[in-house]
Amino acid sequence: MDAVELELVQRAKKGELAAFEQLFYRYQKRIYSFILQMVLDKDDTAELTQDTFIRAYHSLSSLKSDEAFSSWLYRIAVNLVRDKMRKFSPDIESIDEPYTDQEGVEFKSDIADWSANPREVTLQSELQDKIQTAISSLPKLQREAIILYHIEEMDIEQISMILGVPSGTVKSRLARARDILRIKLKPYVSS
Amino acid sequence: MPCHEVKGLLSDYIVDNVDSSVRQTIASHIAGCPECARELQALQRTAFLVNTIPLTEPPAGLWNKIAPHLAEYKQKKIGSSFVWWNRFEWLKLKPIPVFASAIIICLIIGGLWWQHGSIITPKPMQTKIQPKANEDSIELYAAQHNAATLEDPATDKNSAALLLVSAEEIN
Repeated sequence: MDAVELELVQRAKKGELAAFEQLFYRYQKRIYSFILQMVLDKDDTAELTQDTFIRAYHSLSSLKSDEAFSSWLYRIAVNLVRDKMRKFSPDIESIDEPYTDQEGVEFKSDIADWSANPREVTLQSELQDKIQTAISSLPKLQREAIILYHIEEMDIEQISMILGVPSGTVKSRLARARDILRIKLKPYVSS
Repeated sequence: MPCHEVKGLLSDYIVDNVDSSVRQTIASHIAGCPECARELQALQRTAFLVNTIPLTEPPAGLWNKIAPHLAEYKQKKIGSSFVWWNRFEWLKLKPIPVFASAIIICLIIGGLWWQHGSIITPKPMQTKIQPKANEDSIELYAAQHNAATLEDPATDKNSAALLLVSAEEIN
């Protein structure tokens, strides 16, 4: 955290809305992206992003270490996302796993097997879609780790703080997630 | 270490989630095993691909949706801080000295009130009025009484009453 951001956090803690606004503009893209990767719905993402910042503003006084603002903010987002996912689909760990509705009918999300026809996928944007889909198929705990590490570009220690788990657990989740992605993206990663 | 075991540990190897001895073993295995080396490259390429996912631009005007909520909350917070008893929140910080001080202040005020009250409250007149023989002695008594109760706002009424009582007794 740079000195400017630290000062913004301190001013925001004193209730200065303008300082919090600047913090919002610093973080909104990252928080929005993280939430979107997790919930995969733009309306829900916009709502959860707003909730994240509103909740952050309300509980700024509980922030013990001003330097930890970033991790603290992500932690709020992670908790809101988890609550949302729990309410929305309490039994679904990943969209790969089948789930049963209230009438007992079993569903399985249809995730394409991209290894079938790799030559059709040539454009970069399309490749990114495939990667996105592969990420979204991960179990949510692994997905959190992958998004925070690769997309949000955080280090293991910071992810450990945000998720509230030991760094070894973060590494294990990352490793298992990469194993899955390695299989999902086989046509694009095999030499 | 056989290939299938090495492959199973490669993801942990990349994120440095293995012991140093295991790390050494895997490194030397990869150096001599093209198949495991290719698997390692595939995993590294996977990580690279995930890294290419850009951050997503949020919709415009998100702040404008949040700002009214925050301003309202701030206003409520400021409003609540102006409730008069909130100004004495600091008293909670050191309850024992505050309580002791309050008792001392009460004792001082109580003592002053008791003392002052006893001074200002007129004691009932215990002096027995002696009947006078003539009008001169009545006037003298009234003059003495007036001098003694000069600061008493009820002096005139008292004097008049005493004059009447004394005159009746004489008669």
